[in-house]
Amino acid sequence: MIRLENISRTFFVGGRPVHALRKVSFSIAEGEYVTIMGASGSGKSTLLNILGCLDRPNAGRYFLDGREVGGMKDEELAAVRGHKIGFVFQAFHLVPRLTALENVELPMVFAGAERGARRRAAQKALETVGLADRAEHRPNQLSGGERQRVAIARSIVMKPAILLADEPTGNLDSRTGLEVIALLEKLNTSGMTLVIVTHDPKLGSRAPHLIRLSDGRVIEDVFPKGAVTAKRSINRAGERADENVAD
Amino acid sequence: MIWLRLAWDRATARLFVTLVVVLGVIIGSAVSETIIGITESAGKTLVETGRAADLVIGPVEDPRLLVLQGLFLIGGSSAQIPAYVAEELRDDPRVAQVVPYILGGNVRGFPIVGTTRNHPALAGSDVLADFLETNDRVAVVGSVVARSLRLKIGDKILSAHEALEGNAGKPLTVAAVRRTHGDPWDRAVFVPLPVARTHHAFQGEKTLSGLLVRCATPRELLGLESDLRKRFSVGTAFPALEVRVIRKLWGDFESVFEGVAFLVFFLSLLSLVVMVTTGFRNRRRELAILRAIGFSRFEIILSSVAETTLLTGVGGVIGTGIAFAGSFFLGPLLTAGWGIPVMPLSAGTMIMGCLIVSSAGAVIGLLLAVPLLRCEISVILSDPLQ
Repeated sequence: MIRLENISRTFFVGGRPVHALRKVSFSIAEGEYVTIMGASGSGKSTLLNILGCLDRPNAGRYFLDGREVGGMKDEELAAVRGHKIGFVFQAFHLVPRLTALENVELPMVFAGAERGARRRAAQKALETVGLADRAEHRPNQLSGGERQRVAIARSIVMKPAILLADEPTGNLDSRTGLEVIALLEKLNTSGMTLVIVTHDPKLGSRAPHLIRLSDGRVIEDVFPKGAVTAKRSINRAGERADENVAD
Repeated sequence: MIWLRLAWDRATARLFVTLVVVLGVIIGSAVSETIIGITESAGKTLVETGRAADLVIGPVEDPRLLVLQGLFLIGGSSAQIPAYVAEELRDDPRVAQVVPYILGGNVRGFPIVGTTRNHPALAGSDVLADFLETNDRVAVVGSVVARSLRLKIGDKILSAHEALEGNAGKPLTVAAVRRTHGDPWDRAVFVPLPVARTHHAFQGEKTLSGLLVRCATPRELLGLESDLRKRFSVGTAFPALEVRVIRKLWGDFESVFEGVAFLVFFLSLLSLVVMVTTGFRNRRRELAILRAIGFSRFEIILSSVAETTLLTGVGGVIGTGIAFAGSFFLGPLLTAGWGIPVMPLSAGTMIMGCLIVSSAGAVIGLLLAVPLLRCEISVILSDPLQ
């Protein structure tokens, strides 16, 4: 489903190059649950942005469902983001002036869905995350955990194949964080590919597939609980990890 | 039409601020369009009235005063010219038309013009012209006179002198009301030439205040004018030339008025810019979120353009309506008060006004959306301070 080949991303800060990612390669199979771990500044958020087509690499190739993303135009990337990928951000990123229901509806507005269908789908997504009774509340009337669950509802309302979560528990207390993670894992068991970026080792150890970054390189790409899906992916990922460590 | 929905959502999200901005645009467009409409209308009328005659003949005095007096009915002169000048000019092959006029007296401030049926004010209406072919004490009143004095056909009116002397036995009867043309004659009271001649304020039996002359061909004009001055010792003026000079003087005022109009309009658009840029960070984050969930750059630019165009469009349409009403009601007041002929805004001016206001909104939306979109989505969404 996802294949990265020697992806590099360099930013220029004050005229000096900062290598956020250096020749990163790995694969993620359909339906996998992956955590990307690393210390602050290791490049994990940059990697997630590239996976989510929010950013483009300076070098290397990114294949999504066999299609190279690098060659896509802005409009195509927008369509990929709208239909294939769901995002959950650490800071929730809900639109403050809209209610929970309207926030969840937003991706469907983009898709041009008819009002009734939008309402029904958004309501169902809110039910999935256990917030049906908070549909008419605005973000500032919701707790942190509730906001994140609204963000999750928004990310799944279009039934994307991949769900990308950037430190989804970063702004939550541990109990609420666990509830949110449980919810994401439940979505993964229903077939959605789940990629979580985190620096929390406890959270990282929950996933069957772990990719560890350091200084923009993949230093570990393993299946600590044993390979449960996509054997080919496991082997290739192992090889890539070795290459990256040796690099 | 996702972008339109987005624009509507954003505009209605802060309803009070939106209403204040729309109100600003309404005021801006109404004031600027009224000012521009009035100055344009006055300028246009000035030029068109100047075309009513090729030559104005009167007593020897400043040519500009002759034109102001003879065509625009502004100012007065006690001097007259001999009536035989008109008789002799009628026989001149270089002359196509001679219109004699007598100015003297007024009805509640509106000038009385004694003239004949071929006066340019009555061109195209035989019914009105016929009334000036009689010796009866009848009057054809301009629309502003009729409206201001609430006159209708059959009403009796007295000139100021006769009213002052309590001479109620010599009233004029309103025979017709001339429809609004937006020219200086809207505020005139036309009477047959013999009636004006018997008027108290007019001193001579065989004299006239002046003549409006049309030449057979334009190239005869200079020769005719030169001959007239030599033969009759009269003053002459070329309206086209004098109007150009007046227009230059008027142009200075017009520039000031248009400057004021532009300033008011600019301030109203500034309120829109302030509204859109207030909460720039929130707006930028919102656009980044929308892009992250699938909206394209194009849709977001369109939504921003639509939002500002919507506000200026609504404000522009209402403002234009108010400007029309303003020119409709202010026009007659200006005409009656200062002799500035003003017509209500034309459909073309109103459409143009709406288009300019809406386009200004679209440009603002575009200028504000582009820098927002140049920011990296990933950077905005990754940084909690963004």
